Parts: sequence; C-alpha cells; structure tokens
Amino acid sequence: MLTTCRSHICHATTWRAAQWAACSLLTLNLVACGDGSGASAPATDVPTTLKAQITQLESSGALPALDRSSSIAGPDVNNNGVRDDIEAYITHLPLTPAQQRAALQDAKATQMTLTVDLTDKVALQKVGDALMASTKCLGKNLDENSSEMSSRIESMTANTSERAKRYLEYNAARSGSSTSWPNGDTCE
Amino acid sequence: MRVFNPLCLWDTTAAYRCGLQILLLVFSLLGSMSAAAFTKTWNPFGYSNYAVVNYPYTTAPPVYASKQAFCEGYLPLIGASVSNVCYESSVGDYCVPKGFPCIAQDGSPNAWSYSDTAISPQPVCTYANVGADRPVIDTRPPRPRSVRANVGWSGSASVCGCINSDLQLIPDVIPDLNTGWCYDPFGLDYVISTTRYTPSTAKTPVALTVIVRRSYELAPNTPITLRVTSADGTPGTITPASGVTDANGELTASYTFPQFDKKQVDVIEIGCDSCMFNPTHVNITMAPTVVGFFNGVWNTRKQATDGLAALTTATDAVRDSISVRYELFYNQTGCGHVGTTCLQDLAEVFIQRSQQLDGVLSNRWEHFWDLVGGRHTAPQSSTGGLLGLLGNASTALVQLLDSIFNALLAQVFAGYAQMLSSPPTGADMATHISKLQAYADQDYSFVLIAHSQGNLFVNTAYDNLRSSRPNSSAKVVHIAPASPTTRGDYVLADIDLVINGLRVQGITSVPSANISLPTSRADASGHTLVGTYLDASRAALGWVQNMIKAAIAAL
Repeated sequence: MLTTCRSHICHATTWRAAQWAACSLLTLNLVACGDGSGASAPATDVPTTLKAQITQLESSGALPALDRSSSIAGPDVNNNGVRDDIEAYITHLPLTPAQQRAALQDAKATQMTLTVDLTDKVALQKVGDALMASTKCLGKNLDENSSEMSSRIESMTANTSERAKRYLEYNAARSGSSTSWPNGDTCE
Repeated sequence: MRVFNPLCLWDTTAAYRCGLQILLLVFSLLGSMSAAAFTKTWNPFGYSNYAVVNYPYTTAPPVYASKQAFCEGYLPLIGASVSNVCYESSVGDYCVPKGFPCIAQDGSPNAWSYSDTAISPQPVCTYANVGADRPVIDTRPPRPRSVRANVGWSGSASVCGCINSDLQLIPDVIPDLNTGWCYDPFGLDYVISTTRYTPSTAKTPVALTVIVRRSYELAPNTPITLRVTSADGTPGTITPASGVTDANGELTASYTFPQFDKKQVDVIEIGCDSCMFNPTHVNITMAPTVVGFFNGVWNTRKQATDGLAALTTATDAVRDSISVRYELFYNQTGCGHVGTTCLQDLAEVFIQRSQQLDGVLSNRWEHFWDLVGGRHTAPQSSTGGLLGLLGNASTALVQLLDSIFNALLAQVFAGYAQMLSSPPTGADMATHISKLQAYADQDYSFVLIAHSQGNLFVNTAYDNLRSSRPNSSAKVVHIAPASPTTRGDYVLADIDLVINGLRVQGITSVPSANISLPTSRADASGHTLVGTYLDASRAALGWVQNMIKAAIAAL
C-alpha cells in the first residue's frame, strides 16, 4: 500500500521508501516526512553521528538506499540497463504504468552516459539522442513533474565519486555538440 | 510553304504575296523552342469544355453550294475547287458541314474532317459557329497573330498539326482549329507573392496569378490546372485546382503552407494544355525556424536537455502553428581552466568542502547535483528530502550545505568573470557556427535563446552567423544575461543570485534587472532556467514567452 501526503504529514505505509519517494516527489510544500508520529527516525537506537543517522534512514527505508560501490555501472541483475537500486526506487513510486516506463527509460538513458565510450562520437551522439528521447517521453507522461524526476534520476545515477567523475567526463565530451529535439512519440 | 504575317491576314490576296522573309523570321524565333513537332490531338485547347462560352456550337452549318469551293489557307490539303467543301468570304472561310469531309488534293480525308467520327469530339471546321450563318473557321485570328500555316494532318489521322507545303509538321507551332490558324504556343507566365516561407507570413496564403498569352495578347478562357506535390512531406494546398483564365488572360489562385518539421520544397504544377512549356513548375521552399538553446556552462547535458524541454513547452504555447525545429547547442567550457570544464571546476569545490562534517557528503554526490541545480532546498530533491527526515538534527548539515553552496557560487562568479573578460570566440564554437550556417544555407530562420553564460556564446554565434550569412533571418532572446551587450530582448530577475553576485564582485556591466520575482524553494539561486525563469508559477515564464513570440513574428 502506498501513501499520500496531506498537511505536511505522511501517513503510515507498508514500505517507507515508497512513502519517502511519494512525499518527496508529490508534495511541493513538504517540510518533513516521517511515520506520522512526528519523529524523524525510529525511537530506539538513535544514532549519534550524522553519518549514522543517514545510514539508519537508508536501512529503515525512509531514504532510498542507493548503491555506493566503486563500480561505475553498479548492479544490474536483470540486465535491463537500469541500475537495480534506481529501478527499485522508480518501481515503488506511485506512478502509472506509462509514467513508470518513462522514468525507467530515462534512467536507462542516463545510465548509458556512464558506460558509453567517450572516444566514440557516434556512440556519444546516440546517447545524446536517447537522453533527448527519454526527456521528451518524461514530459509527455509526467508533465510538470518531469523535470523533478529527470533531476532525481540524474543525481541518483551519478551518486558516487567514481560515477560523478565519469559523468563529468561524459559532459565534457559532449561540450560543443548539438542535438535536435526529436519528433513524434519517443517513448519506448 | 505558305505563311502569312499579320498584315497579310487581313488581305487574303496579299497573303499569297507574303513571303519567305516573314516565314524565316517567324521560324527563326521558333527555332529557339523545342525542336519536337508540336502536335495536338483533337480538342487541342479543350474548348469543347470552355471555348463554347464564347463560341457556342449550334447545329451543323449550312452548305453554301453555290459558292466557290475554296478553303483559303488550307491548301494544298484541301482542294481549291472541291465543291461543297470549303468556302471563302471576305471575313472567313467556311468548311464542310457534317457528312461532307474536306478532301485533300491527294484524295485522303482531311484531318479535321467532321466525318472522321473515330475521333471525338471533333472541333470546328464543320461545326463551329461564330455567327448567324457562318459555320466555321474564322480566318481572322486574334490580334496580333503570329504564324499562319496550314492546318492539316501528317502521319496519324488523329493528330492535327501545322504543316508546311511539304506536308511536314512545323515544330513548336500550335494548330488552332477554332480559327484555322497556327500560332506560337501559348505563353504561360505567373506572378507569385513569395516562393519562400517565412514565419511572419506563414499564415498568409501565397497569391499566385497565372497569365496566359498568345504571342503578345492575353489569352482568355484558357483552361488551367493547378497541383501541388512535394517529395519531402505533406504538401500545402492550392485553390482552385483548375479554372480558366479570365478576360485578362489571368487566373488567380492561393497556396497555403503545410505543416512541416524539416526543410521542404513544394512544387506547384501549372498545367496549360496549350502552352509551350507545359506544365510549368513553381518551387516553394520552406524550412522551419530553428529554436536554438545555448545553455549555461554549469549545466550538465541532461540539465540542458531538460531546459530545452521546458523551452519547447513554453514556445509551443505561443508559436501559433509556426513550424519550428528545436536544437540544443551544448557548451560547458570557457571558465579559464585549461583541461577542465566549468562543471569540473565546481566539482573540485565540492570535493574539498564535502570532507567537512566527517566527510558525510564525500560519497553522496546526489547532493552536489542538487546544489549545482539550486534544488537543495526543494523538498522534492534528494537533499531536501534528507533534510526533512533529519529534522532538527540537520542543522549542521544545513550549515555545511549552505557553505558549499556559497563556495560553489563563488566559483561560478569567478568562472563567469573569466568568461566576461575573455568571451568565447568563433573558433571556440566552430562546430556550432558550422551547424547554424548549414541551416542558414537551407533557408532556416533562427530564434536563438540563451541562458546565463550561454548568452556569451549566443552573441558570438549570432555575430558569426550574420557576418557569414547576411541574408539569414535570426533573432536572439536573452535569459539571465550577464553579457555587457545583447543582441535582442532580455529578461533578468531581481532575485538572480548569480547575476547579483557579479555586481557585488564589481562587474557592473551586467544588464539591469527588469523583472521582480518572489523567491522559491524550487531554486535557491533564483537563476536556473527551469527552476526560475520558466517556472510556471512565476511571471518570468510569460515574459520569456512574449519575447519568443515577438522574435518569431519578426523573422
């Protein structure tokens, strides 16, 4: 069961990550999301350091637990081109099937920026085209929320030092490029 | 070979004296035309449909048996003394009625014989009626006339042509069975209001006037067909699709541009069955307006794409069906550090600062992207969500984020100042300029939109485009510019921390703020394209849209 947020309070849910995602994505004026009791974190074993607090939020599901390994590509057990932790995040968002597919398409295109051969101009252009296509598809399906979704996927994809470095290199490689906005339906 | 000049035509006696000189003159003129024999099947001008307006056919003409049989002008095919065949009068020739074929001297049926029922409908000779009692071919042609030759047949009985005394078809001369004269082919001319699409006139139908002349006279009642085709896409429309020229020899039509998303050439085909160059083609070239976006150099490619997406939405709402093509011109360089991009400069700042607070952010780069995008205070962002969950415990983290954000801003100011002192050159953006020039060569027009440092790039691109393609049509829209000069209208918000920061840094050449906006947690910087200037909840969006609309209308 997913949840909705009203009056800055998120109601109980069976899956906190979904609650967190729903709150963070859908509530513009949200101040705090918790379990409804007003507490920010479980009452027991309150961690003393900021790092520990964040870790606990992740392990509890209040924050999405992103892969922070040194691998640039990260885990993709089902080989669908979307990193597993990001896929889990998207699939638990309160989205329609079409919105979910659009988000996964964008996640896949964004993930390609980390793995593309930066010396291969044709491949770079293909990734650029894929990003254009997924952005358009997001806009079609999520309207005004598409920009937030796009930004969230980007920040989650390039979430470690290694990935950020690689992502910066990708962007540097694209400097000077030009790409046309695609015509028609670009959803996969 | 007998050919009459115009003067001869009014004097059939003198006609025979008209000589070779005129013939040579006429055919020397005609010699520049196609060498192929200009032959027409029956119904050569389609006047079974149209010419009847002026020449109503009635019944088979009477036979003037008592008159001398003579079909002046048709010799030698028609015997000069064949009874009941053709007659001559001072005003015209009379030809045989139905059932009485003209007979050539060699005894073969004349090609325009009405009795040749295998060919239908058959014009004139036997059933044209231009007066009360004169069925026929009026030998007085419209003035001025050109060539007069014998109308007859050669080769196929279904073909009526202009033949010489050797029974050879005369090239490029049209037999007019309504008059019995051979003429220069009709000349077709046209006047069109434009052959090129421009956004400012896209909704105005193109006015096309077709003008038909025979020799130097306008030719009324000439059937014209009009058709539009395109090898590139769905063609535009033209109305009417057919008609006849009016008393002035003109037919007016209007062409409406289609919707298109790439360069397209429509071909208007003007069909004039009697005209020498039939059909005539008019090319209408059209190309969309390139709405090009030049991003701020601290944008990732994805963020720039997101900005372009927002611009497509904003532009689509105001472009009023004008065909456009959106293009991202991505730049990330120019902040002064060789080998690194502007964004990499910011990343260095984050690497240094994220070591604080026990390195809590050192491997959490999602917060870096939020900070760069100004979204770190937005509840929807990773950072905003984290701060919300931490509640009071987040104070230290908030302070750290604020310090990093300020450090990033300082880096932005430094990079921006560097760019202002050393703006990008044409060489720096050669690829983009080449792309723009290629579009210009294909008749594309331009609305170039720039945000932040992209304004420095767009100035260079615009200047190079105008100098290298002076006939190109381009307008510039500046969003959040810091450039001391602009090439078009601009919008700059009073809450823009980046531009305001430049002023604090002593860079006073930046334009004045011209719009006052409320702050928003969606963009702490008050500077980002999507978060501030295209934010649907604030006034800058409408301002930007008005600038884009005006730019398109001015192309």
